Amino acid sequence: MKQKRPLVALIAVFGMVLMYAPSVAVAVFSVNDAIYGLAWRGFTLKWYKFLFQNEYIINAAINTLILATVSTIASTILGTALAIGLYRAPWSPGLHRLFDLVINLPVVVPDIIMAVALALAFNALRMVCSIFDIGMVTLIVSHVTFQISFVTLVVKSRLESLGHDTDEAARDLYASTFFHFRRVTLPLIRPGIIAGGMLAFTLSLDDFIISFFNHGPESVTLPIYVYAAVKRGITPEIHALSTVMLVLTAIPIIIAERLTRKF
Amino acid sequence: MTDQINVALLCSGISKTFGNHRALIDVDLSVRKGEVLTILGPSGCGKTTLLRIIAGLELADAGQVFLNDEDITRYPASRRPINTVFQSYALFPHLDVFSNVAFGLQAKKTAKSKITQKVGDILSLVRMDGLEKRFPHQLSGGQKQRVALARALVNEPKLLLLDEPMSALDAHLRTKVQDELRALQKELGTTFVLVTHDQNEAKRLSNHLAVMNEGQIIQFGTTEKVFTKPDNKFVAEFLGATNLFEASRDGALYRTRYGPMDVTDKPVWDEGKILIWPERIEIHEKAKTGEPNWFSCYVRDRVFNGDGLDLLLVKDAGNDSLEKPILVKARNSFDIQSGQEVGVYFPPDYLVPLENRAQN
Amino acid sequence: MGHDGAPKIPGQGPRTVVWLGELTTYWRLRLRSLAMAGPPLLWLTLLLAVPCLLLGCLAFASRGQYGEIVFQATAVNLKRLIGYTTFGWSPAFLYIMARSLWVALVTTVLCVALAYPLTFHIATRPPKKRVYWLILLIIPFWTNVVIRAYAWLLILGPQMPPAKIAAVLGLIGDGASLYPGPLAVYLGMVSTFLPFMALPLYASVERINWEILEAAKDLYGSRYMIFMQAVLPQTKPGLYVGIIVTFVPSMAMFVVTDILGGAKTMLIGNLIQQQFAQARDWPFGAALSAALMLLTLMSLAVFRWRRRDGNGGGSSIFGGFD
Repeated sequence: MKQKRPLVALIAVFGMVLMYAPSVAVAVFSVNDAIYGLAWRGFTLKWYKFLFQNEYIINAAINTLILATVSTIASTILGTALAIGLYRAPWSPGLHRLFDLVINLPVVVPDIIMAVALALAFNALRMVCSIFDIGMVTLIVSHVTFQISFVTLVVKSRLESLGHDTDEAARDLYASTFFHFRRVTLPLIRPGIIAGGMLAFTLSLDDFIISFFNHGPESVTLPIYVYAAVKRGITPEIHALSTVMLVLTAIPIIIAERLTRKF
Repeated sequence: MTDQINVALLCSGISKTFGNHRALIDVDLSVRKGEVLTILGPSGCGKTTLLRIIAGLELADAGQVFLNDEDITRYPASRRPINTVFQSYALFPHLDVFSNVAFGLQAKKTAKSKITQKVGDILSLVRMDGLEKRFPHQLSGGQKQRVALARALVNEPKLLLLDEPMSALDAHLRTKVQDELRALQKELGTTFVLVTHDQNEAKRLSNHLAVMNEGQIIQFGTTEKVFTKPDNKFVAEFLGATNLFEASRDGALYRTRYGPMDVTDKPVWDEGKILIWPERIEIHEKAKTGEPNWFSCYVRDRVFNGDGLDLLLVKDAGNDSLEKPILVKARNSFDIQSGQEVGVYFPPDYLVPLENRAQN
Repeated sequence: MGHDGAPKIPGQGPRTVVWLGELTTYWRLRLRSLAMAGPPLLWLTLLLAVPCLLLGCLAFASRGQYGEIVFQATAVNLKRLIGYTTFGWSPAFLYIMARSLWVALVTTVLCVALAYPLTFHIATRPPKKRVYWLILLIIPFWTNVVIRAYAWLLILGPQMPPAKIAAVLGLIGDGASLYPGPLAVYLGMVSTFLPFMALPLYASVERINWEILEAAKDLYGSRYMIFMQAVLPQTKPGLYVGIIVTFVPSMAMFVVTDILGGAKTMLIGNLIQQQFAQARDWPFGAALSAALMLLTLMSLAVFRWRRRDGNGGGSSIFGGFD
C-alpha cells in the first residue's frame, strides 16, 4: 500500500510548515541585527547577550522554574495520594461518580474559566488570610489545583492496570498494611507517579492564562513576560528569549524519546 | 471420629453467599497432616471460594476453620501460617526471583543471613538456583510456577494451598510437573490442599479427594475409593466414567440392557445405575452365551490412544442408532476391526453400583 | 464435625470483610481513604468546584458604580447575554458567541483536513523515519501558545513576503500587514491546534488495517467513498479525541485572538478577560463564563452522543493517549 502519493505528502509537509513557521521565524529574527523592522541586517548573537543581562527576564525565568518545581512536587504528592486513597476504597458508585466529576473538572472546564474561578477563590480567601494576596503563593496554589487532576488521572490509570492478585499474594505472605504499601503498591505505581509528575511539570511551564489571572507584579512568569512585551512593543530580545524557550522545550522531548527507545 | 491429633485442617459448616449466589453451603472438610487433598469440581462449584476462605482471602458467612486445632476463622490472611500458590502465580513483577521468594521472610522480619540461606535452599529444591536475578517476565510458565512454589514453601507453612496449579502450563509439561510436585511434597511432608477441575491431576497427585458441586461436597474419601466407587452419577461422569447403565434387581441377578449381570458389591436398591470403568471391561472373541455378565457387541469405532486401543461398542449395529456406546480401553494387542462383533465380559467385581448407600 | 448450630464467626462485627486480602471493615477502609484522599479532594473542592459554583451565582449579581460587586440577585446580566444592554437590544454579544462557535468549527475542520494527510504520511513512512516525524509533531505541542501566536506577527508583518504579495494582489493596502484579521487568527489557531488533532488521530491511523483500504479501492474506486467507508470508521476513536481537544479549547481561546485579532474577531474568551481587566465587571464576566461553560458542556454532550455508536465513551478525554 506504500504508494507515493504526492498530494498527501505535499499537504503533510504544508501542515508541518504551518506548525513550525512561527518557531522558525522567531529563531531567524533572534539573530537578525535589526532593532526595528523586519528586514535582514546581518547575523548577530547580541540579543542573546542582552537576554542574559536582562534582570526582569532572569527574574521571570527563575519564577517560572520555582513555580513549576514547587507546584509539581506538591501536586504529585497530592495527586498520588488522591489516586491511591480514592481508587482502593469501597465507595459506592454514586460517590465514585461525584469524585470523578470533581477530579475531571480541570480537564473539562476551559482554562479561562478555571483562571477566573481561581481568581474569585483567592479574592474570597484574601478576606480570611492575607497569604492569598496576589503573588507567588496564588500562582503556586493555582497551578497545583489543576495539576492535581492530571497527576491523579495518570496514577489512576496505572493503578487500574495492576491486578489484585499481587495484593492478595502479599497478604498471604504475611505482609502488614505498611509493608505491602511500601514494597508492593508504591514500587508498582512508580512509573505512573513519574509520568504524572513530568506531565504536571510541563503543564506548569506551558501555562499562560491561569498564571495571567493569578499573578502579582512581583511574580511574573516567562509566558506572561512575553505577552506583556507583545502588548508593549516587541524587542528582539523577546525573539531570543522565545528561541531559548523553544529549544529548552524540545530537548526533554528528544531525550525522552531516546530513553524510551532503549526499551 | 477421625484421629484428632493428626488433623491439620478442619473446616466446619462453612457457608458463603455472594449476592444471590450461594457459593458454599454448609461445607465440612478435614485434612490430615502430610496429606494431599484435592478438591475436584466443575467451574463455579465453589472450590476456589473454599480455598480462599481457608487462606483468609475471603470471610465465610458462617462456619469455622481450624488449623492444628487452633481456630483461625477470625485471623487475617497475614496471620495464618498458610501459603497459597495462585493460579496466575501472582509473582511480583518488580522484584527478581530472589526477592520474590524472600518476600514472606522479609515481611516476618527474618534475619538477612537466614533469608539468604533459606531462599538458596528452597531454590535448589525446586531447581531454580542460578536464576535468582531473573525477573518474572523473563521466566517461562514452568519456571514461574516453581518460583511461586518456592515463595510459598520457604516460609515452612503448616498448609500449602494450590489453585489450579497446572492450568497455566502446556499440556505436555503437566505430567512431568505433577510428578515433581508429588516428589516435593513427599520430601517436605507439608500438607497440601489442591483445587482443580482436571480429574487426571487429582488422580496423580492426591491421596484424598473431595468432589464438589454447587457449593457442596458430594463425595469425600481416599482417591482410590472415590475413583473406583463413585457415589453417584455426577461424580462418576465428572471422573470420566462414561459407562453407566440402568439395572433392576431380578432375583440374585440384575437385569440390564446388556443382559443379566451378577454384581459382587450388592446394591441396596432394586433399581438404579451401575458403572464400569473402561479399563476393567474384558474383550474376547466370542461371548459365552447364556452366562451372566457376558454379551455380544459390535465395534463401532476404534482409536489408538497411545497406550492401547479405545473401542466404542454398541449392541445395535445400525448406523442411525442413538445408543450410547460403551467405551473400552483395551490393552491387549488384539487385531480388532471396526464393525467386528466381539464378546464382552463385565467382571462382577468391577461393577460399581451408584448411590449405594442407605439413605440417612 | 457438628454442623447443627455451627456458630457464626465469633468476636467479629457483621461488617468485617476481607478487602484485597486484608481483614478489616468498610469503615476503616473509608477512613484510611479519607486520610489520604481527603486533603487533595478538599483542595480541589474549595479552590475549584466551589468557586465554579460561586461563579455561577456571581452571574446574578451586578456591577456597582465604582466597579465593586453588588450582591443583589438580578437578571441584568442574563439580559445582557441575550443582547439587552442599557441602550436597547443589540446582537453584539450573540455575534460574539456565534463567532466563537464558528471559529472553533472552522479551526477544527481545517485541522481535520490537514491532520489526515499528515498522519497518513507519517504512518506510511518506514518505521525508523516515523520516529523523527513524531518528534517533530510533539515539539510544537509543547511550545507555548503566546510564542506561537506572536510569531505570526513577524511572518505577517508589512515587509514580509506574504503581506507584500497580498498588497500586490490588491487584497490589502500598501504597507499594511496581514494582521489583525481573520486570516491571521485562523493561521494562529490552526498552527496551534494542529498537533492537538494530529497526535490522537495518528494513534488511530497507525492501527489502520490497510487491507480494508485495498478492498474499498476495489469496491468503490472513488476517493470519497474509500475515505468514508474504509478510513473514517477505522479512525473514529482518534478523530473524536482530536476533535474534542481542538474544538472545546478553540471556543475558549483568548491568546491567539488577543494577539492576532482585533475588535472584529473578538471571542468569548477575550470578552471575559475584558470584564476582569478593563471593565471590572466581574458579575458580567461570571455570566459570560457560565455561558461559555454551557456551550462547552453542550459540545461535549453532542460529541459523546455521536461517539456512542463507535465505542463506549470513556470518561477521560485522555483515553489511551498518555
